[in-house]
Amino acid sequence: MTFLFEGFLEGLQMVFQGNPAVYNAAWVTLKVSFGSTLIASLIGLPLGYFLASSSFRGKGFFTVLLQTFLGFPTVVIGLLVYGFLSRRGPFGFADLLFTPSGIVIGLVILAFPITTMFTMTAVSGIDPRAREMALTLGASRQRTAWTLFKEVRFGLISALLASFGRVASEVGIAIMLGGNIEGYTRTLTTAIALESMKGEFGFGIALGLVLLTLIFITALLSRYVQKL
Amino acid sequence: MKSYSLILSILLYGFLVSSVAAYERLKLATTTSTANSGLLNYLNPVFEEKSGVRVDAIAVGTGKALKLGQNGDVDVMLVHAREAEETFIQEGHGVNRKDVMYNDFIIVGPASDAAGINGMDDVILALRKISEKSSLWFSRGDDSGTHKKEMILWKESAISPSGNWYRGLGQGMGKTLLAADEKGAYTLTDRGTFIALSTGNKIGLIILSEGDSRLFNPYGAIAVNPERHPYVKYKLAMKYINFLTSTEGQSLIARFRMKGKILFHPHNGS
Amino acid sequence: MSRNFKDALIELEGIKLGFQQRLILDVEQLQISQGGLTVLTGANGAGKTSLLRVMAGLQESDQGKIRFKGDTVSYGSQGLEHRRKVSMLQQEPYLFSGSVLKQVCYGPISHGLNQGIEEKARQALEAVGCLGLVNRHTRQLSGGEKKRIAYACLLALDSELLLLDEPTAQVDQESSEKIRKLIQMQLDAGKTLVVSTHQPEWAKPLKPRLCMLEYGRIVSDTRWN
Repeated sequence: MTFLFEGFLEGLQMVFQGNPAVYNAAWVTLKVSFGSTLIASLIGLPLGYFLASSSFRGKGFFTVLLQTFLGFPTVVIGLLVYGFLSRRGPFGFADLLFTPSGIVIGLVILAFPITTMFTMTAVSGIDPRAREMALTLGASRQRTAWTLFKEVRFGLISALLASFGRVASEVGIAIMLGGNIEGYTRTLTTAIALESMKGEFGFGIALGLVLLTLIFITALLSRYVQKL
Repeated sequence: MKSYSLILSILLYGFLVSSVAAYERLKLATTTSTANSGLLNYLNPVFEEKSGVRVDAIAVGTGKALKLGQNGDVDVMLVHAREAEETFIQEGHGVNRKDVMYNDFIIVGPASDAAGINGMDDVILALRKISEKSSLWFSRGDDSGTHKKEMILWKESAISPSGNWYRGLGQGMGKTLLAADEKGAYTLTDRGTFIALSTGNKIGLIILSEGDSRLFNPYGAIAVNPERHPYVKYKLAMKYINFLTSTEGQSLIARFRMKGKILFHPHNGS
Repeated sequence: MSRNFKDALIELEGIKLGFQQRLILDVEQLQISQGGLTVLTGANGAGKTSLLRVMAGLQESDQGKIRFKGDTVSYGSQGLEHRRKVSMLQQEPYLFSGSVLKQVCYGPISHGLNQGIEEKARQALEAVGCLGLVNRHTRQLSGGEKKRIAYACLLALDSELLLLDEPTAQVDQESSEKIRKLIQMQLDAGKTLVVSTHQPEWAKPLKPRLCMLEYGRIVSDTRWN
């Protein structure tokens, strides 16, 4: 027990003393998590809306495809994106491997099924009269979509928060595509993986505490939004 | 609708701005033990200051580091696996290999030392004893520089280690040492990782055999062949390699201390 | 019954609408002249609401054509023009989350107006006797209030053709009166209205044209004098 306890104390110390390595990692985590959540939302919100409100031939198929993406093992995502971004791959010229942007690409693939699904569910739950009200009052299709989004805005915010929480906790993709470069692509999660490997338990705890705090804040916000 | 276009424009702008990156970046593949020693955190800032180039150190096993170079995913490598490096150059993946520094490997194990190898200068004899006694031995088993060195030593002792006592973990050096500590096993490790872990009583293993010249661990820096991969930053890679082998770089290496102990020896004397 | 094409505001021809195996609508011919009241009546499920929705451009029929002032009406994105000429009051209106004022302004803003929107909204709210509710949140309204606000939305738009789906359903005698008065006001202003109700008695004083529907078909078409 003392081992855990000491590690915990050491970790707390590092957090409150503003240990730069810890906060650098936190900054990288925030950057890539925000970036990927934003892009995943820009994809997921319109896509989810579209899937929920249209009925076309292949709709069932696309839904199954989405479910598959949702359950995709993250190491496979990391592997595939690595193949694409590697200098030998088709996008090698873009020099994205081992950069934060590379991580974001992988995280977007992880997150967009989440935002799409959440949006699809939220929009499907909208009273069909709402759409008709907008249309009959003369709103264009885009204005109608925007109005419906506002009606389920809390569901959509939950989508964003769920997505953020997921990508902030991701390790595999971040290591494979980022290379865990200190101060550049070392996130809280990849740093923990590294530190535990080095046997630096206290430092790992410090990182873990910061990460947990982030996730906790995300969960709090989500709950707050739901209650509105 | 308007807000949507606004968001898109901000994103696009952000993307464009970030693409016009602030610094030039050089990708360096190195081994986990090198990165964990803290040497790069000591050396690289000096280089970055002088050249304005950011060095991105990606720490993986030696095998992977060379593979990254082979694929052109990095620009330069700093590794310690002489044979593999030679093959690498011969196959045309890398150019301009330079000796940078050396440190050494040591055999560590539990204080109880069931195989009785403590103080043995001859590492081959020590390994033979361990094999005879079937004492628990943990190997890296991951194609890393340390692992390659280990296999060369076994070969020289004319032993093909196998059996219950010999376990390949497929983990990094730190984890392997932690595991060896838990289970009371012998293992081959680089001095740096050992110093890092043993200071502060994180593990109870002790050094049992050291000093044999066969435990010598030379480090080489290799630039990725620009003819194979036109996108690599060859000029920057050479700049870095030249820095490492310059008087300044070499004296920095000599002055580096880990937990107060000397770890690396510059190739060009000190 | 006028068959004069020049007068017809909206014409339906050969409209068929099915759902699963049933035929919900089967209207051979229906012409609504400009400036009058048509009451659609019939039992629940007879197709009144569906007919209104088809006329409003909210529901595409499986077969048939609609013409508005002689021009064919298309559904989908081209239907926007049509939807800006015709508005429908839902049986149980859905109001968007926000203030009542915002809700009533929604229509005019959607139509692309930029001036005098709030004026129009307030006037409409006054006409339905709900000016006091102007800053109330739509969540906090009773069923009857919602209906009146929804009516105000239509008033603020000034559409040529108004479709009201069961405007007096679940509404007390007094409010029924008020609604009749409102409808009369609009008729006096030259608007065209089509109203559905399963109990047409309240509309009698307005002397409307009465179309009775049964299983999606118009079975009688008379004038109440």
